[in-house]
Amino acid sequence: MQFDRLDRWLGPCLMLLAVTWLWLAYTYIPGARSETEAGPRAFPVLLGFVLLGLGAIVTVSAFLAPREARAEKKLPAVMRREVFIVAGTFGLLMLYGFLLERAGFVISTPLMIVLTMRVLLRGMSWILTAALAAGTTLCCWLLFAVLLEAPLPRGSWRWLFF
Amino acid sequence: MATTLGTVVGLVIGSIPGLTFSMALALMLPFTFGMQPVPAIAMLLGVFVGGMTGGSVSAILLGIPGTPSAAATVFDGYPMALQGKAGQALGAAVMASAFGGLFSLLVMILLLEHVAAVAIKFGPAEIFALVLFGLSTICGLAQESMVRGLVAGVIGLMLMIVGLDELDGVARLTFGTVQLQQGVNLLVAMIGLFAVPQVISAFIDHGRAAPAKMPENVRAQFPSMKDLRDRLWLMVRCAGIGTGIGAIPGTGGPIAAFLAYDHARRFSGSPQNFGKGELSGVVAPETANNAVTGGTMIPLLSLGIPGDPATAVILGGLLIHGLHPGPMLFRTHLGTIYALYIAIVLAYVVILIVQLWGIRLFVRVLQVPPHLLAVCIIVLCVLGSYAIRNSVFDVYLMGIMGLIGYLFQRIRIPIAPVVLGLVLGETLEQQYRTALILSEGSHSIFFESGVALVFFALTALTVGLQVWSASRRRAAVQA
Amino acid sequence: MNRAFAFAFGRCRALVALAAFATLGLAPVSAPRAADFPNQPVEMTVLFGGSSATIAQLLADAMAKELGVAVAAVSRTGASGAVGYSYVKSTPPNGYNIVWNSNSISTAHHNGNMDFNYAAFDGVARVGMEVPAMAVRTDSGWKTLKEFAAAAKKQKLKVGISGRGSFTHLSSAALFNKMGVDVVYVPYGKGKAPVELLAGRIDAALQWPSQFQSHVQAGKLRVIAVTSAERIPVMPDVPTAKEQGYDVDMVLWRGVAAPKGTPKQAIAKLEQAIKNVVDSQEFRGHCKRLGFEPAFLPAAEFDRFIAKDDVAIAKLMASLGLKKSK
Repeated sequence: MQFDRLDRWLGPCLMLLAVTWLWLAYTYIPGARSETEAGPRAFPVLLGFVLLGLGAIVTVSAFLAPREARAEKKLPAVMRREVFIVAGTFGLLMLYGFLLERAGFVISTPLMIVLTMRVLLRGMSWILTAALAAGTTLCCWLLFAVLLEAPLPRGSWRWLFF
Repeated sequence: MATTLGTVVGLVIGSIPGLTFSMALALMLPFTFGMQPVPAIAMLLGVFVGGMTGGSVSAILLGIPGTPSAAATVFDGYPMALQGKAGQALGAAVMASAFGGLFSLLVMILLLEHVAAVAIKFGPAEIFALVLFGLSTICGLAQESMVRGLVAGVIGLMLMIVGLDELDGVARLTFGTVQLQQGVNLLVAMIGLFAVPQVISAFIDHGRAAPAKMPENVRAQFPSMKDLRDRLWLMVRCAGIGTGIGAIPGTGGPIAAFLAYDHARRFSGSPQNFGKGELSGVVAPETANNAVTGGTMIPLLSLGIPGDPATAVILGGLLIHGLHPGPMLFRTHLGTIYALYIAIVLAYVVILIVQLWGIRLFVRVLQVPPHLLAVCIIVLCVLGSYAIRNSVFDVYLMGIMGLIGYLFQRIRIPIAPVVLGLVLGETLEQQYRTALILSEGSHSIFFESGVALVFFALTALTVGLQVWSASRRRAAVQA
Repeated sequence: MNRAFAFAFGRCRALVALAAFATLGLAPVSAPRAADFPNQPVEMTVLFGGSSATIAQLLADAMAKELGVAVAAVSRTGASGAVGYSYVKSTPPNGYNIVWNSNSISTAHHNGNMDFNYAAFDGVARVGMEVPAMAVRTDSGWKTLKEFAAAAKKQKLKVGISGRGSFTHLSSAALFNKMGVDVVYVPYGKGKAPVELLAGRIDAALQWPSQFQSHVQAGKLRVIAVTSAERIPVMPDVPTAKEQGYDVDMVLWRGVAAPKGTPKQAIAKLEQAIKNVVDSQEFRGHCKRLGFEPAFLPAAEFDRFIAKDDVAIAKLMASLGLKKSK
């Protein structure tokens, strides 16, 4: 994809974001208490308009720019693998957070590492996976729980162990 | 002894992303209850300066700031590490930190009364002007396109709006959820924005046919004395920036580091090298953020005003030992104060010894294959963002910020201005609003103050210069 | 030296405790029975930083010694306390999860930021109170509230507080309502109000006594009133507002509460531990230096006290236009 083609999408997207933001701000944030104050809404609204303006600049300059001037700036193509990894990493982060709260640190951490190694980075050996999972869990536990006495989540799924 | 222990704990905690020195201080505080006043406070101070210095380690090696104050160090420190110059960057960071810290200590000893008298003149209007000036450095951080840089900055500012508004107690854009009321934590956002995109690229590179080239021969090469001597004047100026900003309550380390970074870039002979692994880009923010430690001690000791959460804990430590900071402290407990000065010097000696020895170990991290390191980084980031506020919500938030960070990287929106927006957003808005409440709605408050006018002029100058040079560059391209 | 060793030793003990902790996480855990409470670490959620957190840590450490298990003060700050209250409310009511609570339970609820109120918790014990104090600059010449009121009627004065809807705001509003004067409230975060007062940008500030103390000794500031019904030991010379003819009684209480439905035995054990701590000379000494006044109330009385306080705060906030109904 080309740079200016990207901007033709980016500009309107930013403007849409700005309009949504402004709508949210006007709907959900109360205005100032009295005329002599800026109030909690002034800044969000200002930012919304600035973003709207910037979006407009991006759009206009993308459509006006001479094609040749920017043609050499190319963006790398999006690969299917990339989409898979981005979605996978994000999904795993969310899953980790979810499990951390319920199953606790000691269970979710090795599980998370095994999933990352086997699903995202295919073809890692099981021995390496197991070693890394055990090692990282132990190191983090020593570091956080013992040395720093930071409470790690213990999880609420106690019934699992009955 | 207590200082040493405190400093080492500070260094360790500071170097872990997600564990800040403010937290470390809160953790250590109970241990000081039973101690004598001097060792107790010395230990807390050790944690404070150690944590501030330790933040640079993960910033340089992993590209993730260990504390918010180290965010500006990432921009040049991490590229240096990738070029195999991690030893140099770390060495320079430690020396710069020690220099900044000791410089600010000297200022504190010699000019405490005077600096405090000036700092007290900074009311909301003046701080607003100062922060606005800080915001103008977005232009410098925007790499290829000014508009994209501004977009990034505005988005950073927007993110800080979400949550409970501290001045009016009004929930903003939280959609009725309690979790969103706590807002976007600065460090959580930074971990997400810096770490997750890196982890993703490490995973993607892993699948490529040719494995990513490892920086061979990672030796702990220290910066030469010449490198530092050449930058001595820069360090003095950045230490001045740091001390000054630290002395103004309500500002703090991250702002000082960004201003110093921009200052170094602007007055450098080769600004185009910044962001690509320029040693000055490490030295400047590190000098400044450690100078902040001495700076914040000025209002703390002379006025009893904590400038940030970290000094608030130190204040608690002082109070519990019956030391009431303020003008009287210098008359009644002068001996204690001198002991504390010595403790700070001692802390820096410990930092230098530990870090210069530790660098040899730290750089080994770079020999770990990137995809395996990335797996460990994920775990560390998740735990770190959880530990900041003991909240799983922050883990989700970190993930979302990471996704945004990666997306921005792909569509070429720079990350640095987003971070700057996050750092400055809250202060900028609150000071503006407080100033207007003070003046009962009249904007003249911003123009009646000489200090504020100076900063407005500087802001205008910065923006003007940037626009001018940008348009000249464009003309050159088109010609 | 000794202290440092003691510290290192403390860490070792913590290590053992945490090892036990981790096994607990893995091994089958029988449902905690109230009779042998406590046999696990207790977690006390702290809602704010600063001096409130320091006192919470002192209390947690001392309670651990009383109860014989670890008591961890875990900070869950944000959203004026709503985040921490929500967390503790969601935990099982077994006595192992308690919250370091305060009037913020009422302010956060009536602000519309939290959809439940004090009734979601069972009080364990009140620990103590903090009393807002009002200070002016010495060079302003005002020595009493009457003089301040006279000046405020001529010209609108500016008063520094900690944020709209914060307890210092409510106390000053209560005070100035009684005085019949109208002032401009300037909200500052993070304890900045005393400097602003020193610098002359505001005319008075309502904050906590320890913030003013040093400046009072140095002769720069003068504290003209405290908002409690009786004089406070930290500043025995300062008259209350009531003595000066303005009938207000605003104090920030702090205590410990547990989620609704916590077994009575567990509450009783915690209550006894807190009582012993608050009665101890050591804890009282620390509190005095931090400007905190120990004021123990047992569970049943504490519950009634909170309910009464909640009504008063609701009324006050409604009169200020700060109350939102959800």
